[in-house]
Amino acid sequence: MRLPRRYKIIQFLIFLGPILTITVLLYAMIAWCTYISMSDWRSAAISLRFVGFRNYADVVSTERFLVSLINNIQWMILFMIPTTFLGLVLAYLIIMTGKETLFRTIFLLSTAISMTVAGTLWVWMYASEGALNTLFKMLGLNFLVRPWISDPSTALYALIFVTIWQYLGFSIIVFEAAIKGIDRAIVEAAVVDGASGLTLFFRIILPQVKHAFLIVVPLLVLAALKVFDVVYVMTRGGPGLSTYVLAYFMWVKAFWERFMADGAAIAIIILLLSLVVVIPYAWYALKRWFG
Amino acid sequence: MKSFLIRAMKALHEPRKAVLKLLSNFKVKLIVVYLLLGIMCFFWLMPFYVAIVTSLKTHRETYTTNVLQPPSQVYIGAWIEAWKRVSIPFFNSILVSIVSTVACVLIGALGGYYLARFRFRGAEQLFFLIAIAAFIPYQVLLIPMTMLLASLGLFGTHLGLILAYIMLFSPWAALISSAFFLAIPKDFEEAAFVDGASPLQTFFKVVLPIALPGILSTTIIIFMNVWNEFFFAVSLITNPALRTIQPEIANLRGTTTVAWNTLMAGSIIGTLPPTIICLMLGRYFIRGLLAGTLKG
Repeated sequence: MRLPRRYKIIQFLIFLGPILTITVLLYAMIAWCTYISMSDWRSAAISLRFVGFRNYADVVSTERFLVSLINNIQWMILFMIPTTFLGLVLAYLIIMTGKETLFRTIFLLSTAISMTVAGTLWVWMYASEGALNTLFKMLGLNFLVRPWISDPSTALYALIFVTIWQYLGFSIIVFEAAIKGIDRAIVEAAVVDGASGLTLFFRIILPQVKHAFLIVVPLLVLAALKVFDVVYVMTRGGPGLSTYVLAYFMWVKAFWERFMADGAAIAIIILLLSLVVVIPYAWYALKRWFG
Repeated sequence: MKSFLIRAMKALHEPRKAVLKLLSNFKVKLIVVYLLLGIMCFFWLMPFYVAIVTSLKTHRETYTTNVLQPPSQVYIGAWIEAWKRVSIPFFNSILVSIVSTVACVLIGALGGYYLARFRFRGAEQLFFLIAIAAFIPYQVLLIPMTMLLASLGLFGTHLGLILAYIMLFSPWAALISSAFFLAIPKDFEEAAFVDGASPLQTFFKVVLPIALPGILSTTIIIFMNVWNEFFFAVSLITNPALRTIQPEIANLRGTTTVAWNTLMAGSIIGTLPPTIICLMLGRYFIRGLLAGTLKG
């Protein structure tokens, strides 16, 4: 059946109507959350009197906010750099062996499972009589034995490692695809010129996979900014405030202490921080898509 | 993005391309490479190994023996106990994940196809808005979502959670499927249009069958995301009988009465769908992950 031209609008609505509705709703929710963050809703009963930026001032001046923000920043750096670097190196090594399917599957397993389960498995790994300490004792590294996540000085880093463990598989496959996308002629020319494995890696591979960095780094930064599940499952922000992060702080404020307006304010702060990464990322994707 | 995606995908599916041969012909000692990879794999798989071993020990044995050591006798009591606790959440999750995934992929594929194929005024802006919606932190949506569902009388119900997931993951589904639609040739559709088929007929009869691998990848990514989602699951469902699997595992962990062997068995049950998909349909999972980055 041929639809007459005047029904073009109907097709537009059938194809794009649902996703358009959802997109509009999502933006309306962002606007709504912004409004709530400027209201006086600080109890179980809904109250939406406008109070301006008071909640932001209150939230930002708390110790928990500062600690969370610093922890999030640490998380970003200490998670993003090793995951990116290891991902690139491992992708290169894996390609060298020619057994991609095997190694890819091994590293993707931890990417496929949920953060909740990953956290649970690692609580057991980090337990005082757990696998990690047992392993260190077997290797004679007794000075490394410690209660990893109940010690405030190591808890945050132990949690950050769990996210590295989870995202490495993702990083590997992006770099693997990028390395394999390199023009064969360039690699061949370098080989003919007698380049060694290391030279090839630093001089040819590294510059040719720049676009993969532009994918991995922003997405990892974003993941670090949103991190919640691992903290909730493993430490609930403790010991003390040592593993508090913004997303967890937001959840505690809104759903535990019932300071909805304050929770909304933290959520908006997380959003603003993430937009610094998301807008250029989406813009860049747009250019490639339509450009 | 189109060309890079096609190239990357081709590369991923032409094992032992000449480049690899070139790389592996190097004088770098392959044994060192294997050694490094072996150590990494050992460390990366250790949590799974420890979880499996622990789940097969008795409660006593988990405390009296070395954690790395296999059980002296295989004990399945922990698995039975764990299944008793997580079976209902497991099936709740199956229900929620399947319904939301089907809806997301349908909505996403329709939108993604239109975005990939037809140029219309505002297409770029729409793509931009959808891309941002797909990447924004969920935290900002939680409070309004709670209020919306409460006003519809759906807070704390499966339908409410499903609606939340449809809103969260449809933009994703649109972007991922769109990447796959871009990579298939237009010829068949043009032939169908010449034959007088409407775009909707063409979509279901011509495009979908060709794009099936891409749709499968999209489905896998969305399913895994919904299955693994925790933030909304823990906030929107308060009734323990309706709880899905991830909050249940977190809850087991929080309950001091649950022994480690049960907790490990429960965690493994909770990861079964994603790990089985990863092992059996790994290549589609990888394509989906790559398409989900928007740049291949």
